[in-house]
Amino acid sequence: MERNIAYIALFAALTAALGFIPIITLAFGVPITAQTLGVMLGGCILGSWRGGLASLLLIVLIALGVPLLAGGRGGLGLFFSPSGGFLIGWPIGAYVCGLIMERFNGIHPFAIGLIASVIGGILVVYMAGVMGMFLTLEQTFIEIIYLVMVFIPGDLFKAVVSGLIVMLLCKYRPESVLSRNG
Amino acid sequence: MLNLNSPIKTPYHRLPVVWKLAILSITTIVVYQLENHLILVVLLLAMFLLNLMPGINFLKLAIRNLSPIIPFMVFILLWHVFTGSTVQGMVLLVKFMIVISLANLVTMTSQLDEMIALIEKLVKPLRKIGLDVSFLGLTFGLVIRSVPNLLEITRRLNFSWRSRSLKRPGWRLIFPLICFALDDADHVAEAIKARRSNNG
Repeated sequence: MERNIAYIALFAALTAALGFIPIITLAFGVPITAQTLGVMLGGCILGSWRGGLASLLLIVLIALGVPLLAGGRGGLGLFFSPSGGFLIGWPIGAYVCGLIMERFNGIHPFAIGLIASVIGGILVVYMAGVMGMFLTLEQTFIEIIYLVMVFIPGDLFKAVVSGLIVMLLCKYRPESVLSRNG
Repeated sequence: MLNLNSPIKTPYHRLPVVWKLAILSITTIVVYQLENHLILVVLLLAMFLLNLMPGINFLKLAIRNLSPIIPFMVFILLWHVFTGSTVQGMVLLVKFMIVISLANLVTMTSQLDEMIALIEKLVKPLRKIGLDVSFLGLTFGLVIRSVPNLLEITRRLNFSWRSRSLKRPGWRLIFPLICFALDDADHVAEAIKARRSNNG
């Protein structure tokens, strides 16, 4: 119980902290932060329900006005903007990442970490994000998918990093990968 | 840890959080249904006045809190211009501005502890179905305490990297940072366990 509380809280904090670390700075000066990598890792390392709760905890704190979203943003306003769906997709995405890790325990950690991050951290989160934009922007699904395509390469890079980190953790501290230990 | 609450006290601070959230929810539903341009402009003006009433410094603070959303709004408008639906884009932008600035006003004028107390009250019925929600406040506190710690660790890892390499560390810092966080989680778990056993 205590371990679960500590891991969920620390992973929510880690995801928030990753929002302040630029992992790549694009040619025109826009930094891509690692916050969604935190969502992927939460699910891949902690497993489905703990990973989902870590992301849920973080978005609740963001909604309450704690500036924990990348770039020091926070508050209820974010959930009413067109990109609010992505935030709501985080806990679901982390849950799916964890579920895939738990179900396919025998597969090589890099491969399953990458697959789980792509499905949970990209597909599921984007589905929620696109749905949110569809409901608020009055554009067609296809137009919205074009609109968000620009962010996919950065997220694919994060999924690869997520796979690498899962592999390193499985090698050097397997006891911490709760998704594989139950 | 910083929060987005306004240090300038306003009459809105005295309104119960639950009322403010109810007003926000109703306004959001109504605004997204509205198509009358005149009413939307009047509502936008009302939002501006609501933010101006506590004083010019409060308004400046509100604009500063909203500024990170501006590039996204410009992007949405440009997208509509590009797809030939400029008027529709502008109407949407006005709707977003009304709802987002009202949500920001709620955030700025509601204390974090009031919001947490409300959430604790809302999840209380979950106890009846056997879910232990007593640790919720502790979990919120743990996250808020841990973020500055983790940022400090990142700063130190960054210095260590730079003293050895000319390359930017970027994603390479994430693995050691996660190891620190996992160690910290194990220590925190021990501390919570000790505290719970002390409390009987």
